[in-house]
Amino acid sequence: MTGGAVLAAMAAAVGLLSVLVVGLLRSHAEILRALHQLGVDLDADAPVRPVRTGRQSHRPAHPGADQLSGRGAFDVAGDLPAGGAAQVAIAGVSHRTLVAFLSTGCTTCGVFWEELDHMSELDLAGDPVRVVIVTAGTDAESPSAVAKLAPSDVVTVMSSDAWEAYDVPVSPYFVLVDGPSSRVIGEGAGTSLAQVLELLGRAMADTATTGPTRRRARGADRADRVDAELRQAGLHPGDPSLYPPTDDGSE
Amino acid sequence: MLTTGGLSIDLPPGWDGRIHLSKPPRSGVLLHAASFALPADCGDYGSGAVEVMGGSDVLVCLLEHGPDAVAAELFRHEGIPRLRSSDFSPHAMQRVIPGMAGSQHFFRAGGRPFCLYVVLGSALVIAPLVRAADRVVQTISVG
Repeated sequence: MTGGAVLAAMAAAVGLLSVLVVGLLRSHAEILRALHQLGVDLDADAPVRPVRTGRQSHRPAHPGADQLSGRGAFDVAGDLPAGGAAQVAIAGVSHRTLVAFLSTGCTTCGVFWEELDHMSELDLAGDPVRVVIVTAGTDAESPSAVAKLAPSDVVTVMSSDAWEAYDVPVSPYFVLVDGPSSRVIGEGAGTSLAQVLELLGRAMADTATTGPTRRRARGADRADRVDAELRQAGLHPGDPSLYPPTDDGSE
Repeated sequence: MLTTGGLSIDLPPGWDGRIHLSKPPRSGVLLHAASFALPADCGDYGSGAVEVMGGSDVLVCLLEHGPDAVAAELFRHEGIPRLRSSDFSPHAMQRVIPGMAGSQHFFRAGGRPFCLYVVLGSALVIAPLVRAADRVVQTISVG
C-alpha cells in the first residue's frame, strides 16, 4: 500500500469517527432534553437521586389541614406508634423541618432509624432544623414494629396521607421544609444521613443564593450547552453529518 | 381536628398536638397542644417542653385521671373551664421557671375526670396569651 493510500485510509477513518462522535453527542443531548421534559434531572456529581427544590404540592396531609392547601408544604397528621394521634406543624412555622419518610422493612431505612436516634434537631448549613419521622399509616405498617424502631426523642408519626401529600416515591426519602415560606426547599434520598444532609445542605445553599429553580434547570442547561458547542462547530439541527448513512445509502 | 380516645381538639395553624392513649402507669388519655415544636419526649406536665418555650408560646396539657376519681370533690366542676388571666401565676407551675406562668384546673367532662394544666411563656404579657390558650382549650371536646 502506498503512502498516499495509507493517508487516505486514515483520513476516511478519522472522518468516520468524527461522524460517530458528533452523532453520539447529538443523541446524548436529545436524551437529556427528553429526560428533562419528563422531569428527570441528571447530575453527574450527584451520587444519589438529585434534590428537587421549591416543589409545590396542593394536597393536604389530612382533611383537617385544608387551611394549608396551596402553600407547598403541609402539616403532618396521623397515628402515634405507641397509641394515639398527632398533628405536627410544619408549614407556617418559624423553623425548618426535615421530614424523614422511613419504613420498618427496608434495609437502608435501618441506617436512618439508628442515625436519627437523639436527633430531634440537627444542624444543617449552620441552621437548626427540627426532625420528624413519618412512616406509612397503620394500613401499611405495624405500629408495634414502628414503636420498636422509633427514637424516643424524635417525633414519629404514622401517616399514609403525608406520604401521598409529599409525593414520596421511595423509602427512605427526605423532605426539607422552610416553615416561614411553607415551601419544600429540598428533597431526595440517600444511603446515609451524612449523604442526605450534604445534599439538603447544598439545596439550602442553592435556595439562598440562586433561588429555588436553579437545580431544576441543570438538565436543560446541559442540553443547551451541547447544542451551543455543536453550533460553534458549524453543526446545526438537521445537519446530514449528524445522521449516519443507512444501508441503502440514503440519509 | 385531632381526635382519638374520646377526645378531640381543633388546633390553630402552627400548633403541634398529640393525644396519647391510656398506657400504664397512666390511667387515662393525655393531650398536649403547643404553639411551638413539641418535643417527642414531653412529660405529662410539660417537662422537656417548658424549657424550650419562647415568651409568646403557650402549652396546654390535659390529663385524664382514673375513673374512680370522678366522684372526688376535686373534680366537681363540670365542663371545660374558661381560662382567665387571674388564674395564672408563676407559683402555679409544676416547677417554677422565672418569667413564666401557669394555671391548673380540675374538672369532669363526659363523666371523666381531668386536670387541665396551661403554661404561658411569659408572665409579663399574660392577657393575649391567655386568650390564645383559651381559644384552643374551648375547642376540646370529650366524647
